[in-house]
Amino acid sequence: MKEIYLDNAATTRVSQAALQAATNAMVESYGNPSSLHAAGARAAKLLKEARRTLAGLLAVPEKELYFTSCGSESNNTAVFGVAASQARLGKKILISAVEHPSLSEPAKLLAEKFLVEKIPVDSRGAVNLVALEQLLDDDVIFVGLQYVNNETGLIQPLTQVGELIKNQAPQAHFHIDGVQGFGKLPVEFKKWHADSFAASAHKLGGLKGCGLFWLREGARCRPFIYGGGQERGFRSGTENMAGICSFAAAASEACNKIEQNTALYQSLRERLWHILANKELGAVAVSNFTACSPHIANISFPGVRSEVLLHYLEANGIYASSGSACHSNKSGASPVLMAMGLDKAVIDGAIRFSFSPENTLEQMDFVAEVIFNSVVEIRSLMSRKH
Amino acid sequence: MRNLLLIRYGELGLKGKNKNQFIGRLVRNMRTALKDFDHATVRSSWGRLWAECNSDQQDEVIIALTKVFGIYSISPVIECDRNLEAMSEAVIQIIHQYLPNGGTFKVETRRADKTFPMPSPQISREVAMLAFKQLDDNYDADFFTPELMVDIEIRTEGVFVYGGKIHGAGGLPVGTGGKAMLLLSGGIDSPVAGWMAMRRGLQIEAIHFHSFPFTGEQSKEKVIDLCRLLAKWQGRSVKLHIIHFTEIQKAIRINCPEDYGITIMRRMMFRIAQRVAKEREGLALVTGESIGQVASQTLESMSVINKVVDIPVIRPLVALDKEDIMKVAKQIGTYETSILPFEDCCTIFLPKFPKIRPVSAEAEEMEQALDIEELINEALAKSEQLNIK
Repeated sequence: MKEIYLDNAATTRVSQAALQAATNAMVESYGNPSSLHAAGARAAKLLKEARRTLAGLLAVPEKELYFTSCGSESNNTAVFGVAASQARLGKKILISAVEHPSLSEPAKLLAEKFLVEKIPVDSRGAVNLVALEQLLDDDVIFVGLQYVNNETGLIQPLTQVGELIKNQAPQAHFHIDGVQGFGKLPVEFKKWHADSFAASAHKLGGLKGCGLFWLREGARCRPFIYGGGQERGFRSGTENMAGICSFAAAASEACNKIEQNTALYQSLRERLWHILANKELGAVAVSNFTACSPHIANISFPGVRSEVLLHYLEANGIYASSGSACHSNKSGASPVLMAMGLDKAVIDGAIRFSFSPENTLEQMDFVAEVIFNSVVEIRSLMSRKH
Repeated sequence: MRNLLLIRYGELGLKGKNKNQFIGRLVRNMRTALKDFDHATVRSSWGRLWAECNSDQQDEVIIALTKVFGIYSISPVIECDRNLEAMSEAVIQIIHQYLPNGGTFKVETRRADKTFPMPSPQISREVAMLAFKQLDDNYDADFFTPELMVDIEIRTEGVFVYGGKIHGAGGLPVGTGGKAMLLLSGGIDSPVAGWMAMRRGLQIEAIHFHSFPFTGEQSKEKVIDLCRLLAKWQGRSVKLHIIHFTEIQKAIRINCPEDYGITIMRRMMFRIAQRVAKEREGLALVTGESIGQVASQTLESMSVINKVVDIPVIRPLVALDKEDIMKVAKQIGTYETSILPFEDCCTIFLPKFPKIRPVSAEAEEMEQALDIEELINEALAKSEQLNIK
């Protein structure tokens, strides 16, 4: 059975270029970049090249980039680091109601000493700018926001948010969780008035276990991991050379093809949705397609438990994901979809499809057909009444 | 250095003429539990059981033995020289270990070797007096209800001092009670039921009903993990029968009224479980049912479901509250796995209004719409067997 992988927002298959770069770092230039001998120097050179590549893609100076172990570490570093170094400036931390747990959970931990507030979102999942304006004041030291939401693909209005922060709370640090956005959409830190940014290699074809953290020079953020002083003392620990080199290779590929891939994702999404919408399945587009990054399409089939539909798809070699594992004994409903104010039936039936350049239109035809047959069967089994 | 452990087996002592058979099984089970420790041995002598191991292994050996059913308590033994001073040193060492903050104790002596020139009560007294000289005011003697009993045993082989009991798992040695089939869903209750059945000496094989694509691979993995945890208590691998249940679920859903869905589903499970039991020489079924916990666990439901089998159905949790069951699940280490959020076959087709008081005749009539034999044969043909260690 051929596999159709539509869970690229969870992780991606490693691209050929990334694999080659990783292999080279592991087998050829395998030294420790901190070592003084030639093998170390070779590794140090690779590290420098990777940093230069990624800095170029982000249009930032190399010295502002730090490699971490994952997107979650970068987000944790931002929240804890800024809170630790800016505590004397204020007590308020703002994040949106639809953040990834790697941002919202650290914020929750800080709630003992800081005032953590959640910026409400509208029905699309975008932050409510009016509410944000009211929350922004002298006391805010940190605002954390996703570029692209991991469950719906929604693109947050970073430019407007950045403007508001600059005008209302210039002392606040603006951190952007770019894990789902980097490589899919252009980044414009200046326009956003951003202070820091998190990204992850495995979301765009690199290895798992490697992230990056951009910190604007001058922005204050206390390091998270201390030790041998790697990454100019900001992030100790021997560099994950395979991950870093794969990251640079994969990100170059992705960023150079943003337009081309966007067009592909749009056509995939359109095809899938077009067939599903016409099949009278009562499908609901959870992702607002005009406001969302096209590589994620969250579609719900109310009355069908997403987990069951996922297994039906899996039986046909199709891999997607549900926002949450729903369990009858436990309310595991997605906080993101709940914050958007969706019906329980829509939330329970929501499936996230996320694309990569490897996906094709023919696959969408097949996927839509499998979904149609599965939903019809599940509905007939589930909603029987006597 | 070799360390000696005294093993007490409580209830087994009541077994009269079968006692040796039970002890033989316990010794074998203990040897299995200790097979990964080099130089650890188990022997039965002087009317009791002893384990011996290298002193650096003692803690791990004790932990392994607390998972062997049939053992009530374990006491590390100190071997000392044949004089009162050495005995009192050993007594003090035990007192410090088990009563670090003070308390009451009593010394009792058994003089199997009558060549030792002092009667037992006098030895106890003298040793206690010597010990008192070195203990502070926080310690006192208590002849009737001491917090700690310290025993001295004088034998030709040596002098053994022990006190402080480490609780064992209790129960009877696995294998002394025959074999039973455990209906294992993946929830909190059924692993606990299996554990309790094992504790009464039963050997368990597990039966799981898998309904892909209604339940996923992870729910199967979860059941495998639970079997792995139970295998530690069983002291040998747990055989797991994974029954392909999807077609039966669908057939019930399509052909039978919704409110009887769970009743009929459970009847099908029992029928299949009995078939597997007979094939595998299992003498009973074990389930995690507890009266009134859910609709299928009312007395009426249990009785209607029970009608389809003729072997005993053992329900160790029948009178326990959910809280009690959860407590045991945490103690035996299955809780964390049980609460992983994957659908299982019992939850996915849950009707809105299940029949709380089903009637046998009605269930039978509805089952006319099913080709029961065919469905069961098909499910068994597609089942898979795993040995989980």
